[in-house]
Amino acid sequence: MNEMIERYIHDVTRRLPEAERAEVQRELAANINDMLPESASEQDVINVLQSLGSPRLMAEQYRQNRRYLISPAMFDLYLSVLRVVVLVAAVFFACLGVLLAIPSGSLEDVISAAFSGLFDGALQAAFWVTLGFCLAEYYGVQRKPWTVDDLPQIPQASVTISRSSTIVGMILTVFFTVFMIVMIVTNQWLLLLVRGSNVINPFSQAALYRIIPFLIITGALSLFVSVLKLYWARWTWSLCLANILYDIVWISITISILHWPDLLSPEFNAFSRSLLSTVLNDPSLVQALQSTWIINGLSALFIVVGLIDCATSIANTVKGSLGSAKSTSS
Amino acid sequence: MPEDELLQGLITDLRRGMLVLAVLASLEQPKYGYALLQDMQAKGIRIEANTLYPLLRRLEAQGLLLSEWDTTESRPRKYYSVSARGRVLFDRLRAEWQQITQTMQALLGEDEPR
Repeated sequence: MNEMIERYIHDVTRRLPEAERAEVQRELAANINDMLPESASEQDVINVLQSLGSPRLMAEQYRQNRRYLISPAMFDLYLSVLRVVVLVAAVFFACLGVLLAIPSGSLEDVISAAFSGLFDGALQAAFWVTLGFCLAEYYGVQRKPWTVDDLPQIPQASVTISRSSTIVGMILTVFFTVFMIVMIVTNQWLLLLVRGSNVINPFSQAALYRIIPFLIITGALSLFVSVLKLYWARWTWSLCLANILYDIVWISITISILHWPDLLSPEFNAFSRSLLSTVLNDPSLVQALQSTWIINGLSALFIVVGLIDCATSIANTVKGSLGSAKSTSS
Repeated sequence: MPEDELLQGLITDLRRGMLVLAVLASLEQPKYGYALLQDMQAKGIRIEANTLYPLLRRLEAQGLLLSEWDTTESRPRKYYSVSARGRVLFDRLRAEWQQITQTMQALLGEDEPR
């Protein structure tokens, strides 16, 4: 009988913080005793304990502090961070998985690597983001009080960057970079000229190997800009600047590679010389064509492409800020 | 949600606000938990043991009540009384309650029951 009372009290206090247990135990024991007649029977005890109700609910009343991992105040922020990080991590690990699976050569392995990468990446990201927010909640990290300055601009539909297109861009970047590197490393190259029974690799292998680090750098930068696009989801001046810097970097890299003397393989040089010689009769013209015109022409092409891209991002950013300026002035 | 459940919920919300006031008003003299419970229930205040006991503890933590263990009798008992701060707050709560009551009287008195 006493045992039942003790068990009830234990069931309440075990759900309470360590510091509170002794005192609550004492209180409850006294209160329950008061509720019982002098010589209480087992049925009396049962009645009283039943009237007190479920120990879980009693403990809930005693606790009355927050019982959530992430507070309502932080939850929106949690969700938006979760979205971005899970997306990025899933794409990244999927591509990484594919990269590691390509050497095995089997298509099944590559596809399953992609899916498991997606899944694992998403899971990992979700776990770490959630843990971070729970810790922040536990240690009482507060949001700073809201002021009117925190009001976001109303996004213009035209300058919101579509999330799906950014992700597609990211996937393409990673695949392209990885694919190229793998091709170079395994001594295969896409462009092969077949002339009769001659198979000519247009680029010299040595040059190709030197290109690899640049491929990685450009790929990484492109991913970085994509992450920025995902995170901000609209054209801001910072994003515009990042994009322009990225353009400058990849175009300068490409142009300097074009100017490498050993870029083209000797076989290709011989082949193109003979080809051009049959068309043009002037050897010096052929030489000029080969060494400078084509290279300069391509360089100019890349510069034009880059300028167009920069102009587009600037235009988008201006549109975005003009739109918001309109709304604040009215 | 069935009508009864909804109504019960709304009534509980209505009552929850005035519990603290009722407890403070019933503690003119120091009382121990169960005695206070019986007192309040006798006066028609609907309150359960598993609401009152934790509430007393909370009010003490907030500084409105003082507690003291009486170990002189065969059964040790924890007596609650209103602190000085509790008294001040009680007066202000009561004034607030009276104003609310007046306002609600006027508001509810206007409409005829439908």
